[in-house]
Amino acid sequence: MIPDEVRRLAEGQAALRRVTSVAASGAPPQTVFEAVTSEASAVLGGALIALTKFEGGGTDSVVVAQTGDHVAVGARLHLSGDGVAKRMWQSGRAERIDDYTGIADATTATDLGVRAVVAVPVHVDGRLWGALSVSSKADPPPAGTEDRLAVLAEIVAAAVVSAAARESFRALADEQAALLRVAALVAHRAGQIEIFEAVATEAARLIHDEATTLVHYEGNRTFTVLAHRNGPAPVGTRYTVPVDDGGTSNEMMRTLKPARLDHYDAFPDRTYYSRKFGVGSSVSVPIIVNGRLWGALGVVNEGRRLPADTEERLGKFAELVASALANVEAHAALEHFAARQAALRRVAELVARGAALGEVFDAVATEASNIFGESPAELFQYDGADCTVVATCRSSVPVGFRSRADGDSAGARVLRARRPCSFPALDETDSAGPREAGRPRELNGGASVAVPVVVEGRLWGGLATTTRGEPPADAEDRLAEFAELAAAAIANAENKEKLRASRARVVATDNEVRQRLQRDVHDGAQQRLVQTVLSLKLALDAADRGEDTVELVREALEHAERATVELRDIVHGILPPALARGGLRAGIESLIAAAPVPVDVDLTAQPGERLPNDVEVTAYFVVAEALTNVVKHARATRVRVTVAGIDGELVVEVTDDGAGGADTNLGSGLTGLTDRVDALNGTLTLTSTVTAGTTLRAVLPLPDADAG
Amino acid sequence: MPDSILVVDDDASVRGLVVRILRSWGHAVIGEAGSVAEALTYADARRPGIALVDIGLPDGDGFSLTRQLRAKPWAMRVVIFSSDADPSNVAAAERAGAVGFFPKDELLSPALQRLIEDSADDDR
Repeated sequence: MIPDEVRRLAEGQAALRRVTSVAASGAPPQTVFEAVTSEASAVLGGALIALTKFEGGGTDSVVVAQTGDHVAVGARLHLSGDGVAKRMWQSGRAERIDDYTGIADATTATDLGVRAVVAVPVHVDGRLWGALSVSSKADPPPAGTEDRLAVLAEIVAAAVVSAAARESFRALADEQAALLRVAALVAHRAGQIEIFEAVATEAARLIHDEATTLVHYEGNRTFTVLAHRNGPAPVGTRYTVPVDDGGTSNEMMRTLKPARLDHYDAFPDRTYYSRKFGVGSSVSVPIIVNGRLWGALGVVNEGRRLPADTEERLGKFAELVASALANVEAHAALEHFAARQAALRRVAELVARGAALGEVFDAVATEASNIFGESPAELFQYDGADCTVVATCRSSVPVGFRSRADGDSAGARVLRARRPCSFPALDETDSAGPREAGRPRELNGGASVAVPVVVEGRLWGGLATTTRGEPPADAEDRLAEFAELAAAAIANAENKEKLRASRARVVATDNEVRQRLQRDVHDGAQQRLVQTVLSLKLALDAADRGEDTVELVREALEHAERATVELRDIVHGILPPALARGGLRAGIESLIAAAPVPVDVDLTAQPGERLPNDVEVTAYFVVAEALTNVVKHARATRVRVTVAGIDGELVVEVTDDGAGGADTNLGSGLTGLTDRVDALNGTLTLTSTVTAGTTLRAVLPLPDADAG
Repeated sequence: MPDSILVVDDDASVRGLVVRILRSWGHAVIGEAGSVAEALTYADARRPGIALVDIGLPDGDGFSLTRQLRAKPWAMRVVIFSSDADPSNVAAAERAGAVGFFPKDELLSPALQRLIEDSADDDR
């Protein structure tokens, strides 16, 4: 072996060892690249060495390391003309051009003043990554240069692979850490704003603090900015992406995949982002939650090209963060639900406690206002012609304000519709109340939502509110829940009032009965008995004087007899002995015996000879009152009384063939009777048609025979 | 001319009995009234010295009639009677200015007779 050759080989081996040890030490790729180029230069006798990286799909070659300052690191060489780089991109193999002077369009070599170049490919993971080349401004590099460079190119490839692996690990670690920070916020139930800000901040950190924006997709091609890190649009900004927009948002919506646009200036008039925020380059990655577009992470800058891995890193983070955001959303929904239930419970407790109606009304108006973010709410009552506001919250309408129910207000509309309704809010029609004169009629983007308040099947009034923005989809249902509570409270209060009135009537009737009884006894039987006593005393005096006493004794007898008759009438009025002794049949028979109108009685379907005492007495009074009314008002020629047991109920019916046309609003006699029938949970109905007679019908529940 | 006696009761048969009792005691000039209004008319016309007044009257009660009669510009002794023997009537009658109260079935009692006879020694 020639000693020079041995020396060169030894030098080559030493250079390889140095480069290999630099690469193996885990030095950054740039250090390895510089070591490779300088060692190659040394081995090749101070030759001009360059390490370049292909970019742009073979259109560009970027210098990553070099020797001899023959080309600048970072220089981007456009592979437009002929040259080794272009040939290598096509062949994938080592290329050599010994004399560029014979090549017409060798622009790059000409620019660099290079005559000959030998280049070997750097393959990374089977892909052409770049080239390691030696250039000469004079003689072509010697034969065998390719082999010597090839060994070093492999070391470059190994360094690239291991650096990429390290970078990938670090990126993964960064992503995990970023996600952990977001997840911790979610776990601690941080507020939505805080979580959204963390997402934007962490996303920005992953991509070298590029301006990053988190947006929420509202539907209808509209996004709202939730948070950003140095982003161009403030939080809360809403923007709608035009259908023909050339920006990344549009493409992302279409593909549901990350989208990139580097040269916005290529679409001077078409991109929303560019026009609105002066953006020059952007990447948008979708955030998909539960299979639908929840929002996006967007990165923008003003012209500088975003790093190549932006989509990938942001995309991965978006995927990971989606589940966290889904949690936030679910949690928010849960809180929403809980708040709604709590609001309902507050009102329901008032209703259950039997709170004053005014208090319940105020609570209903307040909660209705709270549902839609403190919107004005009014509860109003309807009286057949007008609406009267009975409670409000955050409303300019005063309580007590009356308005016509045939107008265009939310209240008037819902009363006509008798079902929940919503419509765009006009300032002039957004409530049941008045508007300031001269105020401009404008759409405020909100909606009037109104629901009827129906109390036991009767239209009582309504509940109306006006939202500032688009109302939630379940707005009517939610308002209706409070309307139902209001209705329950009203029904409670009304029933309580009915009960109170009924009790008052019972007490009044009782007092009246006592007074009448007292008067009847005092003016009647008692007087007669006093007279009897006086007459007898006079007779005794007369007898003492030896006078005739016959007349006085006869008087006493007459008084005593009248007292007997009057007492009998009074007792009969309290409760006929016939009824007490012989049951309903005997009671009714005693009634009709005295009736001045012929009465047909059908008791064949009466369930038993004796009925519960309450039922017998009430049924008796139904017949007695009906017969009294027939005699007083009906001008009837015939009356029919039917008593029948039907399905566990006693049905008592008194029908006449008289003039009819009785006031079905139950007069005072019938009111007392209604109270009696109500007390037994029965029903009393009066049917009266002009010239077709009158029927009074009572249905009284009979206690279960088995249970008894 | 002896003072007349006025009997006030809305029940004519009771009035008849009372008149008969008074006659049996020797009183001849007796007026009758069935109501407060009739009683006041009679009183103004005849200026009776004694009135026997029932409590229950159709247009008022015996206590208020007693007060009105006692306010007349001549002295009048009023005895209140009733078929209701409630003892509280005694005090009420006294407060109204009556000289006594009698249950109707005791209208024959010598005590009433004395009350009426005493009218002659009254502080007129």
